[in-house]
Amino acid sequence: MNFAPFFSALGVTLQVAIGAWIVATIVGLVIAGLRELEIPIVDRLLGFVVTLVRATPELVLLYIVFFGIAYVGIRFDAIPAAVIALGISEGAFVSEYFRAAILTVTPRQRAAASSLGMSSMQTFRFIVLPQAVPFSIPPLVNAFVGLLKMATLASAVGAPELIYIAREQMALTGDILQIALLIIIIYVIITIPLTLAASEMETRVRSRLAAA
Amino acid sequence: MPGPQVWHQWLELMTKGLWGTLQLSLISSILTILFGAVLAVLAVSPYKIVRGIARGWIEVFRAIPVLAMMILLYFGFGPFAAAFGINAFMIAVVALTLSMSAYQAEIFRGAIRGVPASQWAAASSIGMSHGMTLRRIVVPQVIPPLIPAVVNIVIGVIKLSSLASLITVGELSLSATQAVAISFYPLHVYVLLGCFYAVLILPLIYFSRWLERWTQRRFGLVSAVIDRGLLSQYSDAKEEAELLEEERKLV
Repeated sequence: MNFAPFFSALGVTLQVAIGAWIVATIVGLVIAGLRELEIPIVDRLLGFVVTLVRATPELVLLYIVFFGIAYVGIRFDAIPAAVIALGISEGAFVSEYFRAAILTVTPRQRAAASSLGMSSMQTFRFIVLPQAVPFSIPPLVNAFVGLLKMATLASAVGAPELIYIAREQMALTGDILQIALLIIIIYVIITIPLTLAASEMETRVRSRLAAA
Repeated sequence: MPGPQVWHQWLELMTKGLWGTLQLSLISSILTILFGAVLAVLAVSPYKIVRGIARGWIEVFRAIPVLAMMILLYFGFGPFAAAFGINAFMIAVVALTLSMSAYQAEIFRGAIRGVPASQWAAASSIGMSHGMTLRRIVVPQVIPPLIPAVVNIVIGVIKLSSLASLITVGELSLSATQAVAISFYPLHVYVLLGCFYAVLILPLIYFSRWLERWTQRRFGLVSAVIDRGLLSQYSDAKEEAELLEEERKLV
């Protein structure tokens, strides 16, 4: 079996997943940050947008970005379209992870900080952030694993990622079983260590919280 | 802007597709919930081999993307499919079930493990077997906090059922693609498609949130202990934080 096409396909999968992960982190940070300002209208509006995105299948978002927006004249290639669509979709979840991480720092601590004369910026920077960051890392790793799997959707708009190439090679060579096995092994090798690492980190972070 | 006739044509197509999506999601959800529950029980089996195999199964099927499973099965079976009496719909059901039941089993397993070991010990000290402890002590406690998680699984199944269109299963997304093919308005059609899914899924999201709060109130402490094992991505941020707060008070 010729492995070369699968290497470049894995490259495309990683490109989509990493790109979408960066977009998701930025989208998540912006949404969580805006909601932290606690302006009721902004908070409710963003809350609804997040829920709406969560209610929309990733494939539909991808079609809207790839085919829909092209209709009004803004054309994306398959890979950037997948990066944007998957990034927005995952970003909605990521914003919730950030908020959950921020909320793990109790109001009592904020009150204590302000009673020591710290400004709200100082409280956020020195009290909230250092505690919230470790909390948001395991879900971010899980988000990346989710995106690695969601990157298969890019094949729907013609990006030559793993599944697209697998299909092509199946038709070309007829080595159906070997190719299926190879694809499964690739996903298992990449995602399982990441998942295990994330759950290990989560246990540690949580036990630290319980100890506090 | 497309005229009313075109809209009518789209809606007709998509209502047909809606039935496909409902059928596919309903069958896959039921199979997922049943199979996921069985997997979870096997994953906490007292026998090491059974436990090991179940956990390995869960990890592997969580690692394989649903679409990969669909496409590998669909194009893998390709020419033989008809001979075995297999169609694309069945493949979609199998792929969705295998993938989502593994997720569900992991959530259930986490909940079961959240039940303190002291309860298992207490049950065994009064002569209860493993199976009996599971049935009489553990399962009744974990069911209430897991109901919202099951609703979230159903939401996931509906969202992922859209991928079945890529292996030619007649459902909403395929109808939308056909609608684009007959009248070239991709933006309108795909936004309409999103609305169809939103109408299906939004009520479920709000229902699951309400359920979460309800079980919280009704079974308060129990679920606070058990929810520790639940995946953070499946619960609303605020409630997650409240749970953690509860946990802190418990410790």
